[in-house]
Amino acid sequence: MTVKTEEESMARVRLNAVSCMRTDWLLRLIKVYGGAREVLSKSSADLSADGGLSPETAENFTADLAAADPYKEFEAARKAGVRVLTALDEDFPALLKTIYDPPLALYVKGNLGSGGVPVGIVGTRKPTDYGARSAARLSRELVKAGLTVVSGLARGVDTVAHDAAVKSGGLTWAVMGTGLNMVYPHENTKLAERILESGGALVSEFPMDDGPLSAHFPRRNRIISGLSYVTVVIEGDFKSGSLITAKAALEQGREVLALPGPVDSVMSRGPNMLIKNGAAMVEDAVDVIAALPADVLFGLVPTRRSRKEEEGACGKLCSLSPDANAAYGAIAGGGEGLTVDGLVGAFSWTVQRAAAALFELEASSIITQIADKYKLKV
Amino acid sequence: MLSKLRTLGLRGIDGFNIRVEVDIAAGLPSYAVVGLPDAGIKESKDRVVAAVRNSGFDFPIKRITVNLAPAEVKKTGTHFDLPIALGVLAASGKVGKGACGRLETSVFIGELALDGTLRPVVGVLPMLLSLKKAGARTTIIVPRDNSAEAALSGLECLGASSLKEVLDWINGDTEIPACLRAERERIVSVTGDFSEVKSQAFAKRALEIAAAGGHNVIMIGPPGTGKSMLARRFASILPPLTDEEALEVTKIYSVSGLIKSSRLVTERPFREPHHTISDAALIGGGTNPRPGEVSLAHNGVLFLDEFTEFSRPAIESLREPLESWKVTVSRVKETVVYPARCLLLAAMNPCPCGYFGHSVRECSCTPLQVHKYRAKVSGPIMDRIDMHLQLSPLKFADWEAIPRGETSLQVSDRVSAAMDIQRKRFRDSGVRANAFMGVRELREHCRLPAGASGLLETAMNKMGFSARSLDKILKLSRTIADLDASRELKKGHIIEAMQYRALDKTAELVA
Repeated sequence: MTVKTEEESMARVRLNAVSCMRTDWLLRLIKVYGGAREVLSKSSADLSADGGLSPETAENFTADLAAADPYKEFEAARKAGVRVLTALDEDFPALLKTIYDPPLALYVKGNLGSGGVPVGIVGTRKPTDYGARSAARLSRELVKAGLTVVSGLARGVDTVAHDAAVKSGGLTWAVMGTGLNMVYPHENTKLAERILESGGALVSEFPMDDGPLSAHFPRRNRIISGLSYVTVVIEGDFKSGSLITAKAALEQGREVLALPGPVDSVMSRGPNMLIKNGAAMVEDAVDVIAALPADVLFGLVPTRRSRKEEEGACGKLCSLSPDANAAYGAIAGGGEGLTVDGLVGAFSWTVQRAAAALFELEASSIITQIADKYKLKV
Repeated sequence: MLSKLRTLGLRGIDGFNIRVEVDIAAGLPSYAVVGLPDAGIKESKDRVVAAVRNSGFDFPIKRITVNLAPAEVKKTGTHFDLPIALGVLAASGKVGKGACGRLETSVFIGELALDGTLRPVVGVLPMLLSLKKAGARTTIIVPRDNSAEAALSGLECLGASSLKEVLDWINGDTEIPACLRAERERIVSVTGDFSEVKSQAFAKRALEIAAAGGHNVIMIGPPGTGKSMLARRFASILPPLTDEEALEVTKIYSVSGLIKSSRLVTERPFREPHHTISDAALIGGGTNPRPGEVSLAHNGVLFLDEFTEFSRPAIESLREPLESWKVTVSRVKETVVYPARCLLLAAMNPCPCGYFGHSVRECSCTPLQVHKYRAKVSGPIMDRIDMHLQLSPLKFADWEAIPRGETSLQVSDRVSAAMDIQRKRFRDSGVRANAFMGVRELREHCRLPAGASGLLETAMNKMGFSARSLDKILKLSRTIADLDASRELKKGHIIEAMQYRALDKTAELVA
């Protein structure tokens, strides 16, 4: 990298650290003056005269710029093993460059280069069993087909999607709403480590030490969709982060897909609305892959779940004892999961008999226990 | 003149011999008690003086010295009034020459009222039992209100009502009635019956196993799932205490002054301290050490509702009693040991708001909050808890249904039978129930049935059980087999036992 581009990168990181101005305005200023360094050299009077900023905004802006310290940022990033990319870097994600307001700087920990085709999976922080189960299954299928799962490391669907990808030995990228020096929510710290260990990446546009400000998350969402060829919405109400991501994806000209859900489920109102408005419906990985642009399809190995997985499930079920089969029926039909008491009550079994049936199902990985209830395994 | 009498002292829940020596000499009038008396004994001076006068005697206006030997041991209690007063009377020549045998050989215990009547005191039973253990054959004078309690010791005890009566007895002028043992009765529990609990078959079964094997239980469930209701009825499925156990419990209750109508305690204790209790009150302590709730629950149940609301020191202080089944209270001057073999029954909500995992209401806690809430119960405490019981809210149909489960008596009979099996099994080993099995007993009595090792391997690899949880599972399955009256462990027993170790399984990320 030449000295000139290095200075330009530094200038962009400095601009990126300013929180009082939207990215698209910063980009416009760079365009107006021909470079980030030029923007920095202007006084607030110049900025309001040529750049079209109001005098107060220009005043705040220059003050913030003076306060920002890109050297410190680079130092903090180096210490944390984080690379700071700008659009001038060759390995700045090409797909992200093409959106309307790509981030001026992208902090990357881990590996963003070698991944397969990135696909976003987003959804509510409080999914239903169905949502969590489907997110995990889809994520598993996608990484098995050789794609990379992009999500936001939030609670709920994001967590499940990342976790399933990592557990299936696939790649996954987490786009964070904080600086990379912290993980929010805190309990996902281990998950973030596992993502890195499995060859994935943590990504953020925010300075290293930024906390989880509420304004960060909608901005973060545009990067999730911006990094991905298509975005899948699992669950979410009308006004939710998931729909913000879907909207961003549409603005960026990317395909949005949605998981259909029951019409009386609040969490499925968002995706069902998207489907009504023309989003493609997702059942499994094949639907996602069908929505990808033709030039990225090479090398992908989609498998249709309906045959393979269901055969597997039947294979397991067929060898069960009559008791376990009956218990499976009760749990699968119950929806909300079943307690030991529920099973005892349904069949008038003893606790010991119910325990034996549940053990058989659990040992075959068909069901799992969450709090007091047994549910189908995701 | 000098007089010597015998009485008893109390250290923890054990008694020891004390000699009371009273010397009356010419000189400036004074009254001194030596031999490490506590404030209560020093105060006895005024009671003794008044009681002697009001019994119709003159109190000698001379130089009086009372010595409590052995002099280096700290003494507490109010039961020294009677021997001191008798010593003063004897030393001032109120005891006839020919009657001295009774004064010297008997043991005197009792607190005096100012009018000379005898008041009941605490700790009579433990003191007498120690005397009996030492092989003493002697007559013991106790306050009449302590008669029934004293009779439990099996020693020859007389229940006196006043100082005058005791003096007359010493002089051979009257006889004091012997203490009679009160009838042992089975008190019907007022806490309610097991059959009143609707649905909850799983929880009831779990508590039956806990009762049979003495296993500690933690109940986790949203508010209104019947945790407290089940716990209070737990006492009703426990069989009455054996004679040996009853004596142990009565001793502790005697020391704590909790014996009502001075009967033998035959019902298993059920203690339910509030969560604001201090650690000292929970496990015992104080300047003059007293047994805490764990000891009061000896051979019975300690129910800690809202377990996570107890202070951290209080929860952590349970480590010793749950591990070694006794509490050692050490003070500079003395060390006391109280037995504390109780069954811990803890109840807690699944999260701070209480609705984690609830089927209808939404939980408003973050995963971090839930994690922190549960972390209040530390690993070492959880290690000492054999059974995890996750309760679910009642469905409407269950609420509406007329309860028609088994009565407490029916369950209690099964528990009793299983306990008998364990008593026979552990006859020579000092272990009292399956929950207290050590590694050796575990190996001896919990042999795996054929084909079960594959079962446990699956449990470890697929469900995330650890080696330690497998040990607990084996202990539990031993109790389940005992309830089945089966000598051998069967696969079904082991599988059922796993149901009670749910928290050991790998946790899922999303509830």
